[in-house]
Amino acid sequence: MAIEPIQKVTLISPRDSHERLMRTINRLGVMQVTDLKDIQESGEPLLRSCDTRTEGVDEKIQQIDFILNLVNLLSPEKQSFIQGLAPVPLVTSPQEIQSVLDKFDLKQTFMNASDLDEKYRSAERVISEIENEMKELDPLSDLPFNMADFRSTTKTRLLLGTLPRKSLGLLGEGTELWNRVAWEEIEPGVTQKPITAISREPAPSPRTGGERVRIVTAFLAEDSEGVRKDLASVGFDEIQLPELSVKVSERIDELRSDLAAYKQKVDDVVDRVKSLAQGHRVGEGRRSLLILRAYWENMKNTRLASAKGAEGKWVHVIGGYIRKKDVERFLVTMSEEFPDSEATIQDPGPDDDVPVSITVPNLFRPIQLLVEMFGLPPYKSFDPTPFMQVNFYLFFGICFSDVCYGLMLTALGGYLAAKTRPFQGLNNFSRILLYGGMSSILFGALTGSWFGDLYKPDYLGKDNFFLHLQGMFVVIDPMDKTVVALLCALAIGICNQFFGIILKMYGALRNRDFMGAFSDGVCWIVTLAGVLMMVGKMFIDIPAVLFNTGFWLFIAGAVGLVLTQGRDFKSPFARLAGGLVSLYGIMGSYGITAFIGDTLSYCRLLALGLTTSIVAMSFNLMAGMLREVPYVGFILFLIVLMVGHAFNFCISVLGAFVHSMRLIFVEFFGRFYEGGSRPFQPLGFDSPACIVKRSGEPIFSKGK
Amino acid sequence: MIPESIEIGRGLCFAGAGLAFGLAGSGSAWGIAIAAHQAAGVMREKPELFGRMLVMIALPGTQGFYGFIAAILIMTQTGLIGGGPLKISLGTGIALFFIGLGDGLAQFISAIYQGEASAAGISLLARRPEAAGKAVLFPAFVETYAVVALLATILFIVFLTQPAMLQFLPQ
Repeated sequence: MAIEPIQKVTLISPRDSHERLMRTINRLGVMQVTDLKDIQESGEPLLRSCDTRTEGVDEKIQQIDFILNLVNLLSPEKQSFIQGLAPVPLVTSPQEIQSVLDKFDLKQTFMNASDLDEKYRSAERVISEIENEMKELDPLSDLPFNMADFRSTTKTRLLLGTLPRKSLGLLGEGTELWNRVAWEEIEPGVTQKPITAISREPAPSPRTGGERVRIVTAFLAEDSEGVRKDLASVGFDEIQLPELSVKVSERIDELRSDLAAYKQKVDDVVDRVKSLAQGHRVGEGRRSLLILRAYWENMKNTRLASAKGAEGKWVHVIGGYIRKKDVERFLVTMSEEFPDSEATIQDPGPDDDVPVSITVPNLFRPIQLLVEMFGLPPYKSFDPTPFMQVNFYLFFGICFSDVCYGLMLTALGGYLAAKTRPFQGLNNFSRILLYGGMSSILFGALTGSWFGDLYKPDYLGKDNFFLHLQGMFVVIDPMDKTVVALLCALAIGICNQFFGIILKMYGALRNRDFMGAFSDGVCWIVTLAGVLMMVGKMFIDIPAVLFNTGFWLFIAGAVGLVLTQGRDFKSPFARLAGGLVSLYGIMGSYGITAFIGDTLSYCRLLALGLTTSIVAMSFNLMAGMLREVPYVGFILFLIVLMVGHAFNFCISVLGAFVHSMRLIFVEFFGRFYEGGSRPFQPLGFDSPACIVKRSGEPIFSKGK
Repeated sequence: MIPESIEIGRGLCFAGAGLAFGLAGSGSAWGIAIAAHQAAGVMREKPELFGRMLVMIALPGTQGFYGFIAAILIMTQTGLIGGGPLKISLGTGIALFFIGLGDGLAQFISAIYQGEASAAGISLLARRPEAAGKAVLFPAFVETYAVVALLATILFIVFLTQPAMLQFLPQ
């Protein structure tokens, strides 16, 4: 239940065996390889930075990505909503990896995939062109004439286009020019008519949108300029006819036939990609690709790790960090497999940026997730996980305080925890829900919330079982005693703030910073205790001796703070001024204003607890009203209850989790904790996408 | 016969309830839309982040519930739902109207800004998925003021509608 001891390791091996050495380190999965800055920056003439090439590996990864992209595009994997919410890594074994490496022909598969991709893309391109042409031809599909016949002669011109229906009456009004022009509206589906037949009152044309109508005009070549000008003045838009030798409708039929053929080609490609994804068994092809990708990614990481070292004419040197518990196994393996190599183990220096690995007992492990989310503690500091086991679940339980919701959450958390055992991140989250559900049951019983107020006789009848239970366990109803409940929430906040200050003191004592422990711990506890005793007089009638004690505690603590909080300044005046300002809370480790603000923030516990109950009560109320409906009333009552409570359950879990987390991260961690250290990540196969299970070893992934 | 001032008081308090959930619901819809737009963009490139983004999309939705709670409390505490009609003075009616309005405004504005903070968090998540915990904190900071407004609203409604403040009409 602590930060694991880490040791610094330096490994010197003959150059010709360093590739095998890196593979062994990878297989062991216990060493994090880091840059050998010391040697590289020392200007050591006999050693230089390693030069490594990853082009071959990169090419393989690119090929696999190409195949996977094609497979995901044309044969996407069906995932449930839950799987989409929380992707889990693929679990494999060394035997399966070896089998895939032996049997899977990446080169041939890539060539097949490239061929399929080319066919797919060219077919899609042609389909797109056909669809575009069909889209252009569609408005002309009812033109009754052959396109080859619609052409201008030496002496005449033909124009097809659209113009607003209201402009039809304006065409050539009173001009001599238009006596030599013939025009006709082309109605949809109209068979051939003499082009000279002029209809002055054309029928509505649905194919042209009602607003515009199609017309064809014929005129002499010499009148072309004037006619075009007149047509433009009434809003005429020319339609460019396609160069076809057949009717438009006939061309569309041809295109339809082509389109079907190309769609068939696409279907054939999709079928072949599906069989590629499927392999010999369902999903085997995709699984093999994912394993191969993880394998080559691991190879790449190994080569990059190798490049972090230094090399001379005969030797290769790498350095890094290893957990103390793994040192012995590491050294034994090195001495057995690489007798020519030399490993040096030493404690990390004060200036080393040591990666951090924390270990906690299985029961407490879920909360480790929160610490990882916030950022790991510095190596020389302490792990806050054990100190968050009570307060986080306390906050969660109060925010989500309802017995029935708690039971539902416990069942859900238990089910998910059983299903996600191999995946540490998801399993931790599931167990947070499990324990949070238990806490909610407790606080729901204390505050008397059972699906809100469903226990009331109005809903479940007199003397129902829930009413009996509710009465047995309830201690305080926040709706009735809101102010008392608010004071309880603030009291929890005050306790948590004091706990944070004590932990700050603990951290300082661990580092033998006695002045820090006194100034940032003892002085603040004394000052704030004094403040609370004095403020208490505003709410309750406290004895004068208690008030006076509070006053003197405050004075003593404040004097201590003023004298010590500015200890980093050199000038005595600056020290005093710094102390005064720190007491207020602008600078320094804490402040009275920060204490008040942080404590008031805990009022959200009451607000969120009330939210859960009141929304539940509202759904009960709605359901209760519907029960009066004749015949179907009881069914409606049940439906509204189920849907409403399911909805409230989801939204309240979200609020309870986020706000409990916030109280921990901001109000609690703010007192003593600084995260941000880099995690210990040993070189190995496991990644968020794929993990390997070795025989006789339980699988336990850090992937989400 | 109910005096006119009581009628006005009753009308004002229910108008306040309407404003509380109307403004809060509108703000939540707006805020969720802002976050969802951002998430949809990220989903194109990184669909595996859907689960972690969902929390941040849903966060601005809680204000709608806070407004709903304020409205339901006004309706139940003043007897519109589940009780007899209460005699509400003009002063209490005006007070409840402004409480509903104030709560609605706080929820409306905080939901929109929480949506923007969620969108920022989603951007951070897209670039650094390991920073999911910190990304959720941004919108949680904004929600603090929605929670405080809700708490103040609940206290106001509960204490303004104590029997001493309201007189029950004979049934």
